[in-house]
Amino acid sequence: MRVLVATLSMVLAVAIATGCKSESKSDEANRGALTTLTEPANALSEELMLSLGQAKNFHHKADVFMSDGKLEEAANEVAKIMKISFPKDAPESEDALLDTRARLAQMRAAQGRLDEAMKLVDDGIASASRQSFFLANVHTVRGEIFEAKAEAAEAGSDAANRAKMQALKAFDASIQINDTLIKQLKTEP
Amino acid sequence: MSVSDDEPPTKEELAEAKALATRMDDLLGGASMPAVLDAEERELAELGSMIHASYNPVQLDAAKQSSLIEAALAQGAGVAQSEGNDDLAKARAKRMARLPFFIGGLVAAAAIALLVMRPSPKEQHRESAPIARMMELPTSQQSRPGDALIGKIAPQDSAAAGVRIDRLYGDRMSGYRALQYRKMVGE
Repeated sequence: MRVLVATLSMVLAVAIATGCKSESKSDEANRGALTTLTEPANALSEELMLSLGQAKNFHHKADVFMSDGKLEEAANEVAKIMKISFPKDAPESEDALLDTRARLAQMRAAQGRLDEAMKLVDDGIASASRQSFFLANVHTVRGEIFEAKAEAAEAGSDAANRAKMQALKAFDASIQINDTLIKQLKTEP
Repeated sequence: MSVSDDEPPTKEELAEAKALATRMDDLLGGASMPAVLDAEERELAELGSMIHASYNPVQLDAAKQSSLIEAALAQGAGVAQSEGNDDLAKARAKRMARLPFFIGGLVAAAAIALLVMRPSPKEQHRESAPIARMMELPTSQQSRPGDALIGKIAPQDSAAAGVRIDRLYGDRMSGYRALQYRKMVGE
């Protein structure tokens, strides 16, 4: 009994001492950090990288389906990118989503689903917060969709003429954005 | 010898002194102590012998010296053996039984003292509260538009979003890794 009590008291003492020591070790480590680094809000984030990585994977899956001529399956994979939760403030998010819309709109147009394709590009243009080459590309696709609509309409009809006019406007918008950005990039250091 | 020292010695005392002196002479001459002797006289005789011995040390011969030492050692060992088996052994056992408690208590007391005396986490935090510092990021580690990287998208490449996102992802991943490394090394 005595030996047991003595052993227990020693174990308790050693445990307390070890606890003190280990705690003070972590405290020492903390003391070593005199400064903490705070990331600016525009730092590349893990969330952004994960989102871009996911988008990349879906595009590649679409490529695989396209190589087998499976347009519907390919479009479905691209459509999944629209559901990715991209970080809202990252410019790359907007770029990747606009490019996705452009690709998906072309796929839907190729399937003859012109209205669906048009909605994709129009929503993309409406959501854009700035001018970019990706936005210019969306306008280009919009022009192509109008071209397809003009071709689908009866030749010489008002619908065909209106579609052609809209196509020209869309291409002009794309050209204007590209010109502005090219000039801007040339003047930037 | 109940008389005061200031008074002159009586005849009786002088006779006693003479008898003591004679006995001392006899004893120093090698005679043995008388078998029947008054306690006071025996005491005086022994005292006289001791005083004489201290003033006139006698060198014992080697054999006598050795036999005396051996006798003393044998007596000491005998005492130790006879007593060691009971009282001494008990005392030692008692001390040994208390030893673990003593050591355990001592260590526990030291650990508790250490725990109590160490500064509280709040105090430590106050002492070592790190200073927040905003990182200065190079452009490559910032989130930014992909225009400079991708450039103008030619109409024939309009649908090549997969190729573009590969470039965008690769470029940003490179910057992201560099940023993570900086954070890891605390730059």
